[in-house]
Amino acid sequence: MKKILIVDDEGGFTRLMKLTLQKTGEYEVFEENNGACAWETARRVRPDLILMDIVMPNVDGGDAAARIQKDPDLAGIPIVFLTAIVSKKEAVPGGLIGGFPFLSKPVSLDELIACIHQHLPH
Amino acid sequence: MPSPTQAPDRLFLHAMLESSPDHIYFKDTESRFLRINRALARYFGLNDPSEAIGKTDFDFHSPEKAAVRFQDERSIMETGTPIIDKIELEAHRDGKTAWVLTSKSPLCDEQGNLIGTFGISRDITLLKEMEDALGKERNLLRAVVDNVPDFIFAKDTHGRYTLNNLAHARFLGKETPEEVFGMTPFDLLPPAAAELVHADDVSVWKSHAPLLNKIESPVPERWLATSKIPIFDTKGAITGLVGISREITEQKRAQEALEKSNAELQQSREELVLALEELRTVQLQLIEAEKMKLVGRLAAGVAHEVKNPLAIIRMGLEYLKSQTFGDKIIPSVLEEIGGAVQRADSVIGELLDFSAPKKMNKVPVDVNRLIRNALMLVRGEIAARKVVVEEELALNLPPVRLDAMKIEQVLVNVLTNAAHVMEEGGKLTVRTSTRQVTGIGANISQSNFRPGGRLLIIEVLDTGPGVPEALLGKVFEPFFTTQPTGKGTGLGLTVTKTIVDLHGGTIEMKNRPEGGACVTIILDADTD
Repeated sequence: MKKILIVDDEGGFTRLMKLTLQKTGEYEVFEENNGACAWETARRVRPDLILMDIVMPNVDGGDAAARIQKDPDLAGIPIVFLTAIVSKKEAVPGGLIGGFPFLSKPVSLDELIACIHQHLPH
Repeated sequence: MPSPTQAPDRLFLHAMLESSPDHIYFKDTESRFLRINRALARYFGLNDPSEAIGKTDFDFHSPEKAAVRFQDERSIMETGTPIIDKIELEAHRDGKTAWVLTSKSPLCDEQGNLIGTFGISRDITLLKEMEDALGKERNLLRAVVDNVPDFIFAKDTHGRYTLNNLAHARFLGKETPEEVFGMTPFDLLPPAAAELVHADDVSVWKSHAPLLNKIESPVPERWLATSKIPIFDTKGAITGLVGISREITEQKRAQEALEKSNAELQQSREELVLALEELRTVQLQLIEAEKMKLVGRLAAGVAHEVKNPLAIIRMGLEYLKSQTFGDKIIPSVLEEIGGAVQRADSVIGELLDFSAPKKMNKVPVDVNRLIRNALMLVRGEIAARKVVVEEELALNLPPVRLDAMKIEQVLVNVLTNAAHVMEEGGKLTVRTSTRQVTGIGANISQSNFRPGGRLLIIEVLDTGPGVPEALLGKVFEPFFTTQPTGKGTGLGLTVTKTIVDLHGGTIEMKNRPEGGACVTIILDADTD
């Protein structure tokens, strides 16, 4: 079962996402609601893919992703940004923010699973 | 009875001596009065002429005057030569004076022997006073004529100067008025100028009417205001004219300078008005840009705060959709909630588009092709409403530099809007044309299009119900919509106008007289 780490300061969102994804039976989902703790959690969990919010207090998604990428043990883990600050129109397939693929909130389960499939290492 | 011509000389002499107002006297060789007439007796203050007999001028006049007379009479008697029309001032013993005109001759008896003198004097004091007064007046007039700075002249009917003052003589290049006397303008002025002066003279003589304040330039670079008045003799025949000219060269130059500076002022004023208008436009654009920056920040904040809860609702719905419920209605309720989330998300999306930083990527674009692309993109909206599309696209439209994606968005918005107002079907006409900017017309009154520049005009006409006149001015304002809630964000036409503004163009919506509305977009076809 693939492990997915969701980093988002919205606790309600991470909880529902975890429930929904786990309901598919294909993923084991971990939550982290503090950007500053994202790297530690990633080291502990060793996820196959990270879904990362951008706007978070203290350490934002960009910094957290950069720290994870710098860690040689974690550098290969794909990161997908999940953000509320871009419009749907900008989130065209193949679009990148800071070199990372992204999804615009709110996101449907179908979009989410399609994105995960696209970026999970096979 | 003898005829009057046969009357004796004595009678004639007597009548003359009794009645003549002139003073008549006869004297002996010693200058003693032999006889004086009644008028002289009155003058001497005598009751009867006989009272003067044997007396001399020394008895009636001052000694000096009496001596002069005595000498005169001596000279007549010695030379035999009369004194004719001598004017002399008589002074009485009482101090009274009078001017007299006197003629004296030798007096001889019938044999030709000199026996004395006789004379006749006329009191010309009144005449002399009148002559003096006239002389004074003439001198005063001459002084005025000679000293005024205006040019004064008179001419006879041959155009010859009969009078000039000093100023006029000098204007004509002479030192004294006498040098000009008898000359004509043809002797003194360039031929063309002399012709003009002469023509005016002739017109005054012919019309008998004065010519007043004629502005003329008889000498290069000098200007005169001339008046000429005809003069007549006592029988009313024209004898010439008098004229007065005032030099107005300085006033003329000042007037020309004033007119020039007025024209310059007018031009500066027009430039200032244009600059002011430009400043106002720039000011409005700056205010608009500041507003948009603020709206942008607001929109980004709102988007973040709204999209996160929407994300939670969405994820919650996804979770619930994977559950099974006993109540069969629940799935449709979840669909409704999903639709609402999507609607809210699209409003936020358009708000973000509306407020996003506007960066332009201008390239030469075939606008007709862009219109056909846009029509393809909205074909679903058009087909759903049985709307017929008519293309009236100008041939050989020049490529225009613009941001193709943004203008395509403009076209999609306008075309979609037109399709939406024709729910029961209708005709949608898209027209393109070019035009030269000739002046400020109704459609381009607020624009900065250069006169002489080339304009691209895109018109989208529908046959829908049109827009109530009161609302026409508001169609481009944010959140204005005529469509039911949930069917439009009210930002489509605002985004459209913002994009057209970014291109320096104009967009306007009007109702068509035949029904429906027309959107006119005007872009600068020469933009680089």
